[in-house]
Amino acid sequence: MSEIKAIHVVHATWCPHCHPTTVEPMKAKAAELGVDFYDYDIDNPEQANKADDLVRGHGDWAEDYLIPQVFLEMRDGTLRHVLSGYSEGVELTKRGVENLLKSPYFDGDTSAR
Amino acid sequence: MTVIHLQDSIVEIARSFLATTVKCQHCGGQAAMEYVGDGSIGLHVCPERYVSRIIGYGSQFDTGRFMGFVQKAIQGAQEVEAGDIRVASRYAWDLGLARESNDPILKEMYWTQNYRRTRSEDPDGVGVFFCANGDSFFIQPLKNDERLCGKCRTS
Repeated sequence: MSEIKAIHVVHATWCPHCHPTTVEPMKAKAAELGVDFYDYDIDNPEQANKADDLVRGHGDWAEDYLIPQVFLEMRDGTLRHVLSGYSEGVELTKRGVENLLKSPYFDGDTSAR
Repeated sequence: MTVIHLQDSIVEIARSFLATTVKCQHCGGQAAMEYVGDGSIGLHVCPERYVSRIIGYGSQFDTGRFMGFVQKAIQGAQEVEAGDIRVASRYAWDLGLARESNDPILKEMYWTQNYRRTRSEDPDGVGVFFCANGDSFFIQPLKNDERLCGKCRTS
């Protein structure tokens, strides 16, 4: 059983680093693992507060913080920030997501956790 | 998968994994990565020497120091505020490196020219440029096409 309980992604609908680069593959991985998936649109007032709380408490916080930001909620109750978008370009964000999905977090090897 | 060795420096990792070429919003050309000083500061600079972005690399977020660097670089052309700086943590897993730690490998701090709060379409405005000789910033009207700082032009 995966040690991941849920995947959380802070995003915006207009952001190419978020769609289709990050949200869709992370959602697909959550479905594959059978874990919950939550996405928070920073332009949706109801979701923005939760997004701010997540980023301020666990992520890369700045007044105008980067999106996307990905968090893993573990079964032990911890919440881990695992990825922020790359201002250097969408191709680096894409590479980061692909690498994250190949990482020990998702391949069943717990040695690097 | 590459394994990080202790001697791998933040600067080397930044050069190896974070160097990109982006489209310049000033001229539409390609802005490539250049480095300042010891390499802990990276820039996206186009062939016309316009600076699209300044990036600081470090083991921690030292935004005060980074803001000071940016403020000095733009030489009073505008004020840098905390909200102009954005930050990111980079980990082994998203860089594709093997390392048995959950700690970030490096932290990045970004300042982007003509973005959000400071965005302007004024054709008579000024911008921040980086001397083609590669060691100093200078300010000039966006319409101008000097590629050297004042000191290099007169020497």
